[in-house]
Amino acid sequence: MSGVKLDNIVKSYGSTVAVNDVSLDIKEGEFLTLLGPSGCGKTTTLRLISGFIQPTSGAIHFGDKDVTGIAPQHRQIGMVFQDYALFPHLTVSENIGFGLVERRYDKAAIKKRVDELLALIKLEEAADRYPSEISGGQAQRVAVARAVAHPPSVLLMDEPLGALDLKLRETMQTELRRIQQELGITAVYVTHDQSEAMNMSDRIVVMNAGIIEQIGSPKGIYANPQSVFVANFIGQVNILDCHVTTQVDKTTELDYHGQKITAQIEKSLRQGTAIFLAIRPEDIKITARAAGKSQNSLKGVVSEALFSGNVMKISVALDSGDVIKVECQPKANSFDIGDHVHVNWLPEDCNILLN
Amino acid sequence: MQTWVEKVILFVWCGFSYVFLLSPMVVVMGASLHGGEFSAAIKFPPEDPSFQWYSKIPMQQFEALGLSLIVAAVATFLAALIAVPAALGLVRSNFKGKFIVTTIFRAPLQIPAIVSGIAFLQFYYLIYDNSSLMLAGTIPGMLIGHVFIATPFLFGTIVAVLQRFDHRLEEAAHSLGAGKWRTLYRVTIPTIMPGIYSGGLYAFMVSFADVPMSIFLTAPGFVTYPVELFYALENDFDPSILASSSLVIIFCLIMLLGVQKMVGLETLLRSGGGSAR
Repeated sequence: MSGVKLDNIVKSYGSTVAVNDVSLDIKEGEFLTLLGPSGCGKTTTLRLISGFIQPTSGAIHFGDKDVTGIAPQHRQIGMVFQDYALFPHLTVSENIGFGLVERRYDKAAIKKRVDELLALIKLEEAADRYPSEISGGQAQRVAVARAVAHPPSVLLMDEPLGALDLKLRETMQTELRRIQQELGITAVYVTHDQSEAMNMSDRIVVMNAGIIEQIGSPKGIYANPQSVFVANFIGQVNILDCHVTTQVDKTTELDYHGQKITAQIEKSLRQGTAIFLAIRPEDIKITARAAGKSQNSLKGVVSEALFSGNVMKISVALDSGDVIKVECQPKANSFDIGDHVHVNWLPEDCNILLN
Repeated sequence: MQTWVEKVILFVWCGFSYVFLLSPMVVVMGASLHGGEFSAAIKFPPEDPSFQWYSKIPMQQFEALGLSLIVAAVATFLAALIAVPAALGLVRSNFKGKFIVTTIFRAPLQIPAIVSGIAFLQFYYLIYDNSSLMLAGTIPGMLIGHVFIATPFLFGTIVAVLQRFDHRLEEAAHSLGAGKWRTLYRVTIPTIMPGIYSGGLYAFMVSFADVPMSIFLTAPGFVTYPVELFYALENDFDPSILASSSLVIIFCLIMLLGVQKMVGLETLLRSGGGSAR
């Protein structure tokens, strides 16, 4: 087991650059998720770490060892695939023991380790079944056990839950996280599902068009997205076009279509800078009358009201033409389409995005 | 729901298909039980059924049967040695002229066996003229011909299996520390084994039943079973030929059922599994 380090990795196919100058420092025992839309380079990055493809330039280290150019079978990796890729002609036990045979464990050691892992994934009773005789969730657990049987430097998972239905996927997220933590293994996980990334990861790497948009903890990325792309990709967000009027310390005055908005931000900005103001739907309150001076408040008309159980999703069309999405408690908020309302939020809940 | 008209049509059509496919065998096996006096005509249903003609099967037919089984088995094995690597190489590579090479491996199917037979015989004479090595009428000569007609059947099925092969299985093996050859041995070959078995069964049957080509490659005292039957039918037909044929039909049925039970079940169990659940 060890950390993984990517230094200025580039992978291009002809004139197409799939991964563009990616550097990453994955800590030992960390659960890191590569998140992004399809074609963003996350799977390519995973395959570069696994060694199935080699970088056009840059270097990859496992711990202190430079593994650039080394074939996957010599890298000590564990790999979990979306469609499991269990060997159909071998039983569950034989699948789990496959790598141990390759690593020349003796028979007794293989049996002991396989039994241990069957207990870890709670599948003792399926030991002698063939992959075609077990369910998708079970197959995924077997795939994980197989990948970690001979403790790998790093466990690589390529959308491993993509083929499962929603309920099972949620159970398996917890299960995968438990197995990873129990073994204390370094894990790199690829997904396009932001909630999956949020649930499981120590850190998330948001990728887009071959580059890293942002790296951070799930909370950090959600609270402080650095770009419009990240803000939109992780959860929902309202984006307003604004200009900076004045800035005194952290208190920044913005101009939004002639209306004043106050934001509390860390960045120092010059007067007149065009910025995007990002506000999460759950940070916004709807009231019939304008709120006090301490809050930002804009006028609008309710254009859509959706009740979805635990939350009420309300859209408010502002005078400027922009539509603000709001998520609020259904009990306290009974607004109908056509109601004239105010949307209010605190200066601290403002996020400023450049670009 | 099926209407009764559909049911009747289905029943009649299936019944017709079965009768069409099975009646020749039923007639042969029935007529072999002919118990009356010698008759040069096939009598069906048999008069006064008995097994008398079974004891009158000439010894050389059993010898020929033995030769045919050996030739078919060895030819199938050799064909597999050619077809498996060829299919692996052709499915996984991409080069100019791949289409042509693939066609060459299937070509023996398109050539009438009688033409192949003549070609082989002429070729063997040519070799003999130049090196005094006689292949016609020998086991190696016969085998070369049979490998030629059997290979496409194995090649075709293995290509079909490989085209559906999930290459992630091989990546999984690599990630678990298995190199190229270990992966071939422990993952690729076992996974395509059902295809090799069923292609091999075809190849065996084609070789075992071949007359048009084998007839050119035999020699006195060195005759395959179907050719022996062909001669017997031509020269002096008697019901012992029917008896001998019946034995082979029964033998083939038992073998088919055996293979079905051994390979068929495993194929069902394993080749579908793993992915796509």
